[in-house]
Amino acid sequence: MRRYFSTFLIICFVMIFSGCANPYVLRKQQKSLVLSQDEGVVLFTAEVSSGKYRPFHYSLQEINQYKFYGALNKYIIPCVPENISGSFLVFGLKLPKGTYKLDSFTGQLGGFFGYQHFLAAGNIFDVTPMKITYAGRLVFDWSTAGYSQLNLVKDEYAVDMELEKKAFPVLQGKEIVKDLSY
Amino acid sequence: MKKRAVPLLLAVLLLLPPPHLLQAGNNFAANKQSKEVSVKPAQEIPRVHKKSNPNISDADAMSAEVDFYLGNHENSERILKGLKDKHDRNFALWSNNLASLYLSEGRNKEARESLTDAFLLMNNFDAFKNLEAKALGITGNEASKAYKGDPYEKVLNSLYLGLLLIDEDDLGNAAASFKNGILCDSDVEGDLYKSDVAPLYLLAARTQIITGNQALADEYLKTAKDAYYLSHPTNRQIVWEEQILQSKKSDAQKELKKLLGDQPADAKEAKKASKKTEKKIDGLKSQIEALDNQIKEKTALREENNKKITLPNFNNFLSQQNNVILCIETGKAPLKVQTGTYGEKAIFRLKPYKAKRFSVLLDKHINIDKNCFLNNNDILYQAETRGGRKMDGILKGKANFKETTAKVSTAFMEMSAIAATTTAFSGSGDSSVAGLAVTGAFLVAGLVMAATSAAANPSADARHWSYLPAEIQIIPFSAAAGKHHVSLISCDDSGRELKGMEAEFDIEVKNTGTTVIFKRIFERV
Repeated sequence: MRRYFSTFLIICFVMIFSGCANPYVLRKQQKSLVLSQDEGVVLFTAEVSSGKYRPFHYSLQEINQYKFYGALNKYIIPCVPENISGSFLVFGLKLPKGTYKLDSFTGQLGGFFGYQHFLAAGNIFDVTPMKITYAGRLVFDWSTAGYSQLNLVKDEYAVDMELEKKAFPVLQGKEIVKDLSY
Repeated sequence: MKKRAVPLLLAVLLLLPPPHLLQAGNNFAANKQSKEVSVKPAQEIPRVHKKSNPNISDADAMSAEVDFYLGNHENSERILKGLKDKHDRNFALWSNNLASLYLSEGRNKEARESLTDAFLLMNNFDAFKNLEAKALGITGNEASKAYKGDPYEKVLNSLYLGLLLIDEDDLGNAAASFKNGILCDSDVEGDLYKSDVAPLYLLAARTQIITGNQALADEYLKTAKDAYYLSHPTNRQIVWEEQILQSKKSDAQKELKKLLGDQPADAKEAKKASKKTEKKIDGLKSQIEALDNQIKEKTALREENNKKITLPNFNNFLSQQNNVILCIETGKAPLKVQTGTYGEKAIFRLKPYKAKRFSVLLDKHINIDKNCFLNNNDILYQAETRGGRKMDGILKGKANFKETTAKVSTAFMEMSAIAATTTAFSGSGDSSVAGLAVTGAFLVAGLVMAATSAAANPSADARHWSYLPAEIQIIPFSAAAGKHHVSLISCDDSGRELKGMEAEFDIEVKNTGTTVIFKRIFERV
């Protein structure tokens, strides 16, 4: 009985924490960043004017006209603690080369007594192989109860690079080029 | 047995994914109905007598596109040639993309061959007809049709082909190509969009002058001016609004005609019917009148704007002294993206580009007059103004069908669950057996509806000529026969020079005829 219970606990432990080892997300404790010829890194930040926002996860969709719609890759990316940097949200992703659409964020607005809030994005960015690119700062404004909408993609390269390098020290000393999302 | 059956049914219900997830699953899983089909076109198209490379598949096409924009043209060309050799439903797409690659490298002859291959298929209604029929079905996939391009792609194919035929002094075919482009761009209600692609008319006028048909050239020139005004950025919003009003007016007129035509022969029936339809007819007539007035207002506003627009010097295009036509391509093609719950709508998104203005210097000292430049030929405008294909209505129907069947399936599943729970509490006996039968029936019905919903395929076709530029600027100028050096300075919208985006290249001007040069400016990361 004890053995079965231990096995059950281990399985639960593995299931809960295996989700955190997402291959696409950059992490603070990451020591190296190696890109193959088919991979690139995209960095972007977000600013939510509706209030203090805590994202849980966000979704991306591959854009590829050569694939049938049902075969397009869709990603649900979990958020990690380093994604929150003061009043800004800071993201770094390592993805296969191509074009992607950032669909939305799911999270909570308003701290402890907050409520679920949805950020509708819809911006498109390119992932260039062997390059680290900055896709801009996404500015979300209040739209209606329950969700905010992407209003603008700003170029805040200087400020955002400080935020990104603080959140992901592995970016220190690396060349980061601008390729704003649209 | 009965005691075990109910919990078993409940377990099945709990473990089965609900219908809305089956719908989503269809979006996540590969669409099994959409298999690669290699078919012969109805008519012969030029064939390359090589064996297709079995190692190259559609999955490599995105890699080719990324390589093209990164400058790795060799790999891109290898993949596109391999794909083109398959002679599949995307033959015209591969040909167009390959042509753009050749143009960016100054390989005009190969570009012309590729464009011709695409032209023959895109303008052939009968080619791949069997695939059209499949796509129209409720479970058919739009993307399984042969790619024949949206009207704007046919226009650009014709424009590029015509220019390259001018370069080869094949003026007859060049004129036919421009005419084809004009016709592709002209199928709307009213005269509003009697093609707004000014370069087509200007180049058609030029070919007519060379062949000695002045009257036709004058007609083309007049229409070129109209097209330029229509497509000028200051008029675009007004023209779009006018088009919507024209569309509404046309729909109302069709409905009115139908009502007027449907009057029954029998007098008694006619009297009865006329009371019902009279109100409708009156309503439609006043609606048409109101729309007419609104259209007149928009037209007046447009004509007011036309007075403020400075036309480029169109005579530069017609003058035979200007024996060189330089086409500068800048930016990246508008991206066609599927959107909506089931990807049933296709919209265009344009990646911003910086190089919008250019200075052209010939032999390092002759500055080509900017009044010669034919600007405002942006591809996004052409793509969006032809965005509503006839298929869209059917796709909306497919999307509605998918949603409705999914909702019905959910309802059946819920009823099945309720029936199962009720059966569990009804104890043993006949009522329990009846309850099981009802539960089972709802479950089966729910599964059938879920499967039907999942099979419905409303996703829009996102295939597009992605190697196109965002904009083409056409510049005619004069140069003596022989070698010349061209310096191109790229500037942004405000006229500020863009470092790293200048171009220096040599051209060879022919002794006779017109020399057409293409230069692509890439904004690489």
